[in-house]
Amino acid sequence: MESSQMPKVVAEVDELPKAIVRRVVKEKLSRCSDAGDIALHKDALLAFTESARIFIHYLSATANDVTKESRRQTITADDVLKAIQEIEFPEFIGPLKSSLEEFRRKNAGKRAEASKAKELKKRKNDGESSEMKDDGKRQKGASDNEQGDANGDATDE
Amino acid sequence: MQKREEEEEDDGEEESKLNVIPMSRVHRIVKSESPELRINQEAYFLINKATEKFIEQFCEDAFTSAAAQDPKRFLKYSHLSSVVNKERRYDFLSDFVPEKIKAKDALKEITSEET
Repeated sequence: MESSQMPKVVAEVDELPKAIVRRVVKEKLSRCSDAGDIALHKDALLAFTESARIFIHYLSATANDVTKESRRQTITADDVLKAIQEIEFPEFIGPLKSSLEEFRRKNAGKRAEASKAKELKKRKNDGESSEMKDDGKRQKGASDNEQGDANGDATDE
Repeated sequence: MQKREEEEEDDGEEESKLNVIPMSRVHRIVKSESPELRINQEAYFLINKATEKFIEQFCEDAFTSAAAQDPKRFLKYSHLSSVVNKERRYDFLSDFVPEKIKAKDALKEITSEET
């Protein structure tokens, strides 16, 4: 037998960090049971980690189907929510919508800060009044658009 | 695009994180399988959050099903594979979290089918 030439079967696949999966599971288990610590077997942790990865693909693919059916190219939050319904996990929808609102608020806050900073710079530049500063402003405006906003499609290539 | 991902990650770390799972990892996992997909920032956020919810739900379903048999102080692989086998919405995992049977039982099944 060519044991020295045995190919190593290593799945070089991206996985979620095991420590994080473990934390999510352990915290959930502690909420499930009042009867103290529930031990998590190693093979169960591996199965959770792998399942989470498969879930990401499954959800993305389903969301993509929703998007394509609407003749659009970019998957949106609504597409993902519809996909959640389709894959029969409707109990996620409420909590996901709340999280989404929080996410949008945070981003709106960030954009407000960014435009405030822009505004301050603009006033400073106007005070110094130079034609060349206009180019700098225009560039900043463009990059803001690129970052994408809550409602727009930030293309991900 | 790489730069934007890093920016997103940095932004997340400056404030309290909304996501437990690193966003960059979710990006990589999606890209590794489906690089052609176009997904906006909000959608990625939801995919991330939904995955976290999924782990919790799978955990709850497995634990409930295990505890129904007798009080469990631990969660093992067969608890998960049992749920996958029984609940339709977990069908997508049937190739990845299959029920394991002993080799000798598998052989017995094959020979009994042949006779």
